[in-house]
This record gives sequence, structure tokens and C-alpha cells, in this order.
Amino acid sequence: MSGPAARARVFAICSDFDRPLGGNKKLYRHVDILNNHGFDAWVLHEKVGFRCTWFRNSTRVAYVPDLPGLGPPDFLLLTEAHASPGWPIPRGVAKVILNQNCYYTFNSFSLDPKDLRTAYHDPEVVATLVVSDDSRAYLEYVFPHQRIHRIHNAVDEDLFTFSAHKRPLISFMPRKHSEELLQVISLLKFRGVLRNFELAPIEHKTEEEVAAILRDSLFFLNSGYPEGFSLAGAEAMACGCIVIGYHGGGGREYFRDEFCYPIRQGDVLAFAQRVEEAIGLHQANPGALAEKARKAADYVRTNYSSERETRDIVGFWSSLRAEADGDSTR
Amino acid sequence: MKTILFLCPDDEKPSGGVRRMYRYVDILNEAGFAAYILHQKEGFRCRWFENNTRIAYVVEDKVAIQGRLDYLVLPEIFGPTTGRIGRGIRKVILNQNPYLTFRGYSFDKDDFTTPYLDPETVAVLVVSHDSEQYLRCAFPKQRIVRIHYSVDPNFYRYHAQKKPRIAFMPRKNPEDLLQVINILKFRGALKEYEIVSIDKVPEQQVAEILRETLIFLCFSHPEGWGLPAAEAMSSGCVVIGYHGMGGMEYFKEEFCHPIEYGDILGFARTVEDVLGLHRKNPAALVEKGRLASEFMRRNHHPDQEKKDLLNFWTNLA
Repeated sequence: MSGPAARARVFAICSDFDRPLGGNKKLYRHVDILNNHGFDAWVLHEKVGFRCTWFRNSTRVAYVPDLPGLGPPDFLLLTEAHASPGWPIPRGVAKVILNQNCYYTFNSFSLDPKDLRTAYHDPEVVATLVVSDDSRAYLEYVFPHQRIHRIHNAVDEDLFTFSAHKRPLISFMPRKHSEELLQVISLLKFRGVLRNFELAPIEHKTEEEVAAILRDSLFFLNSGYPEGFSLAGAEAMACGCIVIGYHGGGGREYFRDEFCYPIRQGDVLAFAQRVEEAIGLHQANPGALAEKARKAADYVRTNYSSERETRDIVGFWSSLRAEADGDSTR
Repeated sequence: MKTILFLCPDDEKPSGGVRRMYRYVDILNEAGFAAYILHQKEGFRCRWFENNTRIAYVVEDKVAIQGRLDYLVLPEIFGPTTGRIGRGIRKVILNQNPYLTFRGYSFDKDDFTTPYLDPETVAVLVVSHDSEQYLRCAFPKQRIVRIHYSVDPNFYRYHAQKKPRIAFMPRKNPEDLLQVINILKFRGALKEYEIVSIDKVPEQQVAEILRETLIFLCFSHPEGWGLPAAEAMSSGCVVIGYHGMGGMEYFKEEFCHPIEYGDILGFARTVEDVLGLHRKNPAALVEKGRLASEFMRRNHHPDQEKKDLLNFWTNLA
């Protein structure tokens, strides 16, 4: 596919942190998509030689100390963490914020009502990218003059594939609100509900291992919040799990009653009761649950495809580039 | 005369739960029971609040008290093996926050260690309807008895003259608080209001601040009952925020603004709406605060709590 002339460079600032962090992986993917479509894009790390190695990639990486002067027509892509008042944002270059979790927007801001420092009011910040309708509503409310553009996260369709053949397995990610999961599991076990089920805590696993567990799991307990999009829930749905749990804010748009069992955040008792009901339903009418899981997987595959993610990202940067080119020829 | 020991952590950090245990021991002693707080470390006593509560200590694995020990009261926070403490003694669990019940338990689905199924545990005391439901669900065969927590209306006194002040306690869910305040400030909604963070101040000062506060933002979750919001209501504040589950029973829409836990945008929007109402019709807001205070006085008076507690211990065979 031919793209616009490779003139402006896009540098995506990424933390030097080589442990599983969905946001960093998405940032690498963002850069790959741009490079595959005629842009000149780089992940930018501080430490020379650093690269995320916890997932497979051959993304183009540049380093801050080696960086030649940034300036028009370049773009700097900041994460929501880099858009905080304590981070020294370079001047003289246009910036875009990729806010992957709106609920982290104000981390390291102050409670001082007179402290109004924010990158979102910086005239050099030309737009903010978000990954859910929930995030868009949040940021449009706080910064009504900021240009907010939504992109759709993709669930990796090669990895998180649908399977109708399920084992009596309940999986969950203990790193997300472990204390609440422990309550849900304890409530269920003391009620004798778990006798015929296996539990699969998903931790310290490769992505391939996670996908394999999800393909086998009848139920997935989603305990993450707050979430910019809640990828884990969508990946579990793509694998055909019955998802029970929190949408975390960002997942509200796909946590629909027809696909899954959404629980009010923090309502541990309702969480356990819903799991018990779903287990009862599975025993009484396994076909109904399987149909729900299939619908969920279809929805995720249709709405969170790689193709759509690519279209959103390329579409956004193409229009930004066109505007910048228009400005410079005026 | 029943002799009752309340096992209490040796922790000098302010904790509403510990304070409650001291108070229950005082009430029981006044009513003719022989009740003690039981600390591990000889000579330890909570000094962050004024008290002269009767205390017993564990010395060389023995408790020096007069007469035979009838009951040991265990807090909910000591984990699955708590039942092994004081073998041979009947036990009551005072569960002031059911959301801490399973702290220290395991994900092993075949590990059923818990004091709640121990035959020596004769009852569980809880402090809200929500707690009652939670524990009944987990342990349907256990005897669960509910006590009404109370707020002292003379200490958290109603006051109708409010300053344009918004107060909160920053220790509870500080990330959510930070978001709500920042959303409001970047929208310019806080300009005419004083923002007061209630942190590390004596109880007397908390009560004074609340008395003059128009709006109290509650970020606590999860809660057994939710004392700070109740104290704010008793003082006549309009409370906006999380009921923390335990507070669901008194977070009534006629006098406060419950927000679904984690709904940051809904929280900020509601504060903005309430501030708008305050500018348009300040009397309506003051009336809400009055209704809240009245509700607390009527339903959560210290006399009720005392009655519940004495009823339970008197009727315990």
C-alpha cells in the first residue's frame, strides 16, 4: 500500500520497562502500522540499546541521546504518563498524546486547585488518541477544546482464536485486584460451588500460554479496573469464554448482557452470585451459554479487528499529515 | 456474669474498628459484664483516643483475668487460622468489614480452613445489612447477628451555617480523588469553593471541619458500614460519593448523591450539578444536609447500638 511521502517523522516515547505491559506492546504496534503504511515512525527509548523483549518484535527503535533535532514537520507521540506535569516535554515540535487509560490521566497531578499545568492545554499538543468511547467521553468532558480521536484496539486474531471445546475451567488474572478475586473464589468454594471445576490463575505466562488457557476456559473472571479498554476481557471473549466481571470503564462498550455477565465494580457478592448462576445454567442448559460465548466472540472479531485498528491509526495520521502539509504550503 | 475478651491488634495507628472494640468493652462493663480488650504486648494500650478501657494481656501464653473465660471475640482481620487461637473457648467473630474476611486465604479450592466453620465459633457480629448478606452467602449455617453502628450526634453535631467548602479524606482511594478534583478544577468548577483535605487531624478537629462543610466527597470502598460518610451526614453535609457497599443502606437519594464505585466521570458531573444547585438555590442544599442529619440521629443513635450489643450478649446462651 502506498502512503504519503515519508517526510515527517513520528517518534513514540516509550518507558524503558521490559515487563509485560499491554500499553507498551500497543505502542510498538502503532509504530509498526505506521511504518507499514508509508510513514517514518520510531519507538523512542531513553536508554541506548534498550528494546522491549517480552513480546516478539522487530520494531524500529531510536534513542533519545542519538536523536537529531526534533522540529517541524516531526511529531512526538506521548503516552498519558508522559503527559503529566512532572515530565519535561520538548518544545518546538507538534505532539500527539496516546492516552490508553484515561483513568491514569491525572496520576502525579496535584490536589492544588490553582495548579493548572497540563499538556492537554499545550498549543503544541495537536490531538489526543483514545482507545474507547468511555475514554473519549472522559477526556472530552475535562478538556472540551482538545481534539480527541478514537482508535479501536485490536484483539490479535491469530493468537486469541475461538474454541467451542471447553473444559470445566475458570480462569482469572490474580494480578488484577487479587483481594477481590480471592473473595469471589472463597465465597464460591465455601458454598461448595467449585467442586467440579478447575481454577486457572493466569500469571507469569507468555501470550501463547495465556491464549491456550483462554481457549480451554469455560469461564473467565474479569477483575481489572480501571481500564482504558480492558483488552483481557475482549481476548477472553474472542477465545469463546463466558466472561463474568468488571468492564473497568473502558470495556463498557462491549460488556453487554447478551455476550457476558457484567458486574458493578467492587460488588464482590454479586460477582460470586453471578458465577454460581452461570455454573447452574451451564449444568442445566450448556447450549445457551455456548451460544452467548459464540455471539461474544463474533462481536469482538468484527469490532476489534487488526484491520480496523490499522484503518483507524493510518486514517488519523494521514489526516494529521495532510493538515500539516496544508499549513506549510499556505 | 459473662467474661468476654476482645482480641485486639497491638497497633497504635488510628483505626475505627479498634476504637469500636474499646467502646464495646466499655458498654459491656457498664452493663455488668466482665469484658476486656486483649492485647498481646504487656502494657500496650491505644493512646490515639482518650480511654480508660479495661485491658488484659497475654503473659507467657496465659491471660490474667479473674474467673473463668466465657467468650473470646475475634476480629475479622486475622485470617483463616484464627480459629486455632484459644482452643476450648467459645468464640464470637466481630466482623466489621466483610470485604476483609478472606484476607490471607488461598486460591486453593480444596483448602477449607476458616474460623467461620469452626464448631467453637458460636456467632458472627456484623455492622450492616450488606455485611449480613455477604456472610450469610458465604456461611449459610453460621449464626449472623447485626448491630447498628452509630454516630454520636452531640459530637458530629448538626450545623446549618455552611461555608462554601468541599471536604474529603485523601487516604481512601486517592487515585479516584485526584481524578475528580482535577477534572473539576480543569473545568473551572472549583473557583468559588474552599477545598479541605481532612488528613491526620484529631477527631475533635474532624468534627469541627465537617460542621462547617457544605459538601463531603466520599471515596471509601469497600466499607463494612462507612463511618466517615455517616459522620459527615450527621454534621449536615451533603455527601457525594461511594457508599462502599456497607453504606448502601443509608446512602439515600433524598439526602445524598450515591455514585457507582469507579464512575469517575459520573462523580465529577454530580459534584458540578450539585454546585450548580448550590448557586441557584442554596437553601435546597442545606435542607438536604438537614434531612441527612435527621436520618442519622433517628436510625443510628448510640442508644440503638448499645441496645443491639447488650441484646446479643444477654441472649447468648
